[in-house]
Amino acid sequence: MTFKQRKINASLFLDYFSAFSSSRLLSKIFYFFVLAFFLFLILTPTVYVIFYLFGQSEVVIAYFQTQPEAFNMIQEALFYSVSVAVIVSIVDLIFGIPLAWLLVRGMLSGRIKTILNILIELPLAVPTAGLGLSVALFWGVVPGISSPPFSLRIITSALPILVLFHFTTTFPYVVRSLAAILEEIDVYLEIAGRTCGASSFTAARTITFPLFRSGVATSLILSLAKSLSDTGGVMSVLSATQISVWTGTVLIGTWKHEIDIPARVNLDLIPPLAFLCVAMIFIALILMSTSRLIAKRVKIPIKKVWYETERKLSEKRSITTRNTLAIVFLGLFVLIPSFFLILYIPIGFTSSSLQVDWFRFFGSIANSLIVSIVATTINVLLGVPLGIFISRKKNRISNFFNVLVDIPYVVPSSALGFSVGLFWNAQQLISNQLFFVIMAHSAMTFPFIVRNVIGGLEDLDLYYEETARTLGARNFQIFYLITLPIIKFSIIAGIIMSFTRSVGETGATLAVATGFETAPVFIVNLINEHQFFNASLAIIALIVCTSLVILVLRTTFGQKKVRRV
Amino acid sequence: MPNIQIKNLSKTFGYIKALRNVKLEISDGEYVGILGPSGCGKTTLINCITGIIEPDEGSEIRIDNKNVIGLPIEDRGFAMVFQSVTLFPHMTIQENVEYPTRMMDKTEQEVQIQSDTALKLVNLLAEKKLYPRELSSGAQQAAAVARAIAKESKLLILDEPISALDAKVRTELRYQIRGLVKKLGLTAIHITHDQQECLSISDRVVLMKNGNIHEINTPNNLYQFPKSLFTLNFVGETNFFEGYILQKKEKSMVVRLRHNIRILVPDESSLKVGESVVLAIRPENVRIASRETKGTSIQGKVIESRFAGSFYRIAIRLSTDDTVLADYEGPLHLDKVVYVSFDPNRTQAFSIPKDGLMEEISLE
Amino acid sequence: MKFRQELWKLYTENSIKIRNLTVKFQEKTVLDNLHLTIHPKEYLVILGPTGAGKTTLLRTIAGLLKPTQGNIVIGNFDITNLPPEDREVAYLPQNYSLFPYMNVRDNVLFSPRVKKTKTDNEMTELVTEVLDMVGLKERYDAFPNELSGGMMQRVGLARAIAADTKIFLLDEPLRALDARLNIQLRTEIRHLVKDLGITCLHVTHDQDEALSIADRILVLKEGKIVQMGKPATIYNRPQNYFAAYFIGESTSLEGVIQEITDECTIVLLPSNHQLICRPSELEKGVKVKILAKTETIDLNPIEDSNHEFQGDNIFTGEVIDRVFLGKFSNILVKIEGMNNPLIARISSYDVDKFKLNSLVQVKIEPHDLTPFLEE
Repeated sequence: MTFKQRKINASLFLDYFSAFSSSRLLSKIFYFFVLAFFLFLILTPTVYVIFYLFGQSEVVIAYFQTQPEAFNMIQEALFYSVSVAVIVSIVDLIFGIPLAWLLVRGMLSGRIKTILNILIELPLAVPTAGLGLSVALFWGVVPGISSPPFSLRIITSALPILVLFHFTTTFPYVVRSLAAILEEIDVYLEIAGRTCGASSFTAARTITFPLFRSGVATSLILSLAKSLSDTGGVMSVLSATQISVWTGTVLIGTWKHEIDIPARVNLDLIPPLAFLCVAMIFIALILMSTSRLIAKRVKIPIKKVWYETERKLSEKRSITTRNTLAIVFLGLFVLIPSFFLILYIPIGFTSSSLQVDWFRFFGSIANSLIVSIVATTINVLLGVPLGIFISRKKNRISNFFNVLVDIPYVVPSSALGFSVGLFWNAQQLISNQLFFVIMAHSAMTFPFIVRNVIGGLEDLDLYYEETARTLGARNFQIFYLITLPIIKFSIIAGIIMSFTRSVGETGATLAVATGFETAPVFIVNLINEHQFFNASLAIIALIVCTSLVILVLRTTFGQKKVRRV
Repeated sequence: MPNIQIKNLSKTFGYIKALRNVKLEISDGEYVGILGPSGCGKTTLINCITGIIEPDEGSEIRIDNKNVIGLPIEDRGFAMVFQSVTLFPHMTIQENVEYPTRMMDKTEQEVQIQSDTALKLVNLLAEKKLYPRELSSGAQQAAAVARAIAKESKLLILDEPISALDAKVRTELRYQIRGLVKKLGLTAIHITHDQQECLSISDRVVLMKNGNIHEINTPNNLYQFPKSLFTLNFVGETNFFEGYILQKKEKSMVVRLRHNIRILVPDESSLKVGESVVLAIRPENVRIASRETKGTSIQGKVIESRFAGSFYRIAIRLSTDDTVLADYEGPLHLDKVVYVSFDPNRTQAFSIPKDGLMEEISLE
Repeated sequence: MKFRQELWKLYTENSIKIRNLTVKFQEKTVLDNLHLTIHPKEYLVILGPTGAGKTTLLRTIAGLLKPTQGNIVIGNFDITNLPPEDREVAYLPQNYSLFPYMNVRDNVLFSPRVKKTKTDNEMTELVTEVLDMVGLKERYDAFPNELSGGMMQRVGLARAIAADTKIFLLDEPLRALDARLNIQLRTEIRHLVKDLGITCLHVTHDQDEALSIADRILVLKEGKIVQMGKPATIYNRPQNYFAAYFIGESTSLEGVIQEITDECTIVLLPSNHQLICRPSELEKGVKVKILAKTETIDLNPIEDSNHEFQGDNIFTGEVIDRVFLGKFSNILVKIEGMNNPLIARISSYDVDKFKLNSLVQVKIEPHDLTPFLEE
């Protein structure tokens, strides 16, 4: 018998491919390629900027000695960035936990749950530059325009307006992630606790909450990262209310701009800017690990019971109060400020003259779409195999990459953008601005795809693939017929997240290139020029474009179709 | 004094009526098994009693003469064991078992005593410092029983407590749980889909089907004198023969089966001559002989003979083209010609169900 | 194509020989040096408690796990390193793993399609044929989530049949089903497999299930073979304590061997009762365990004085509980001085003879009692 010399029926390309992909060596080479690419593209710039700074440390010190005001600016910027992030994250948690609880455990009817979910996610559709303007119009005083009705006009100082603004960008993420993690915890544990005589509050505190800690840490990190990182929104809100103050990302954007202004190129600023970026990266990392540590260390007393108090807190009245507070927060601090802009549009119509630079307008939207689509495509091509590698190969290398993947989540996007620019400039291979922007966006949104693929694969029972194997399917057939159809929806979700994030991004674009105007950059520029009405129109146009792309994606791939083999 | 009274209990999910006007009374100290196939409404029934879901308007549930509808779970006064292991994963076995006592505002010493007593009852005192994941699944469920007992409620609700365990462990825990309940004088409601578990553990069985209570009886009566074909099939294996009544005599009748084969069976029912009937006889009541008995035996051929522990399970192809299962003390040769008769006192006749026999006894 | 046919021929004509098979996960030995032979067209049930290594054995035979050591040989052909997709065995995992976004038809046709072995017309015929076999002809366009547990199980079988292999590997195919449905489906599976004339390995933890469908049973414990043989042999002649304990229901008694003769072994129980057992090769003075199978214990109500037990191993005890099991009932009899009650199985139609708290005579025939060393 000649089993070993078995010939492969090679009539079709697919057969070739499946035979190849079954080879161990080939799959090793393939994974090596993906991992190398990931390291080079996504991670090297961050590491590079740190090494660059070490090389330039004397230059930096010298610069700060001659220009002490630059150092003061950095101090101010870091102070605002950190304090805003911390305050916002804590308040988010305080209101986010009850809201997530209501969503997951509140026994809501299906329709109400859907509506609440949509309301929570609605602000995510607005680019942060738009949210900034909207918040400024609602809470703050915007000089030079007639305010829309119901605007509060009560906030005139930097810290509160920044905090109020960040609620709109972070709260939806926090609630969504808390709810997702809460879903994972078996509700029957809490019910078992109640059959033991624990009131619903006691059961939640002693049983669900201790199991929920890591989820709280994740949400905390998410909102810290998001608020440290935002650029466009902060620029908009500060510029519209004419409050002049530095935050980390605004300073990065401004300095980068000064470096590259064609009339007076100021290359001296590069080392201190690198210092600022590295400082932002480290602060981000420190805040993240502190919140992990706190979540791990804080002990929730599980033996002590405050009988009367906790029974009171479990009563219908207390629960209603709690839910009402959370919903009021969602409405007053998130939803209304996010969409307040709509009220301004009729006023804008009557009071401003429409002077849109259509070329710039459409050019910027086209730029945004090109960047987002190309960056997302790169992420899919790299991220799907990486996700599969991390979740399927359980070894030291995959664990290592599992940790690395999240770094772009955590690093502020403008710091990331600056590093990417610095790195690729140093290579002197390509000097195309579009390429720089795409690289920065790709690095920034990469985790969305990988995380979604990993999540999808974790839900996918390994038995499906094994059964298919014993039924005669080869590696590529298994991937194409079994794995892909099941994780397809996770990938689409990742694509949508990556795409919207990229379309709305300002900081990374500003920090990586100069004079490259994407739609959010265009909006920020308009706001800087106090053309609020034109900015509003651009915001709406951008929302419409993004929604269209998402709609196309959803209708093309979103329906669960019967796949014929 | 009845411990639990349920009246008019209904629950509708959308268009699906999961429970239809259920009425049930459970007395003090009784061990009641609730049995039925998947989707019969037994879980909904228990969820309504415990307060995990609220029933439709007009339903009435009283525990110890107290109307509990609208009361939160923790105030309904029962302890519970669930199907999945619901030990709290972040607490040791001891902390788990202490949990219910800690909810009662007792001194540290009382808490200790009560949890140790409960752990001793299930022989897990030595393992009390371990975390749940360090125990076998059988021991985990025993610990969950200890936690329920430590609450010292008079009512214990068990929702498929042993269904997920290995068969051997199941049999052992069965004795242990029933023993504990009886020793402590508790009232127990035990849900299961396993007819043998239910028969063996309960004082009284509530058999459910399609959201209704199909039959309530003691295990023995449910098995030996079931009131319907469904019960007959569900609580044990049964042979069914379709035919019609040819002739009625005093206390017996002649039934015509396929291929014009007639058989005399006892009868005290109100079935009429000419009516289509189903004869039902359990394998252990089928007699196998090598000689014919005129009028009461049917010829057949052995098609399978399998060892079944203390007896052999014989499959016989009858001349009526029916296949009958019979329990016999030893093996029989394949293709051997035998004569089958039915124990006259243990053969039951039912009029044929209007949707057909297969639909009536369907398990899915 | 040629390869498959040669493999089929091998499978139908030769035994599967498993030699020195060891599987380790990190440091943990899951299968420990297994030696066994599976006959062609045999229905072999692999029986054991959770963690015995049953699933691991099945997955190793399927090729999904690489053994740390040892071989799987069919005829003179070693398949140890053959990848699962070339092994021509159909594996049905516990949850059936029907592909969720394919309907019944596409699930069934998965294997012929990926193997490209059939024309479209042949496939249409095949679907009708196999779905007819499992009684689901009408449900060909249903999706798995629209089916009940029993139906999903049948589709899983149909898919395995359509794969046209000569070996079935079924991992607890009945575990997720209601108990009553389990009893109905187990016979259906056996008949189906026998009609197809293929070899079947069926994993279960349920001894009832094993006894009622197996040609032979392989009892596994902690990765080792406890015993392998026909159901009646395993049941009636267990080779060690575990096999005796795991199969059938019994009461465990402990004692010390007092005397050994050619006819019997006499064991002294802690309650000072003497128990006459089968002769054994053990030594005097060793501690032993004896399992009294429920159906070997005879009971006689004390009031029934005209039918008194005579002979060895006769005790008197009190009925402390009656456990109804359907056809049989178990009577728990407490004997003065013994820790555990003896469990005796009687026909349920006789249960009224043994009233609660009444006194009964108990008798166990010596040839039904085998002393085993404590493990």
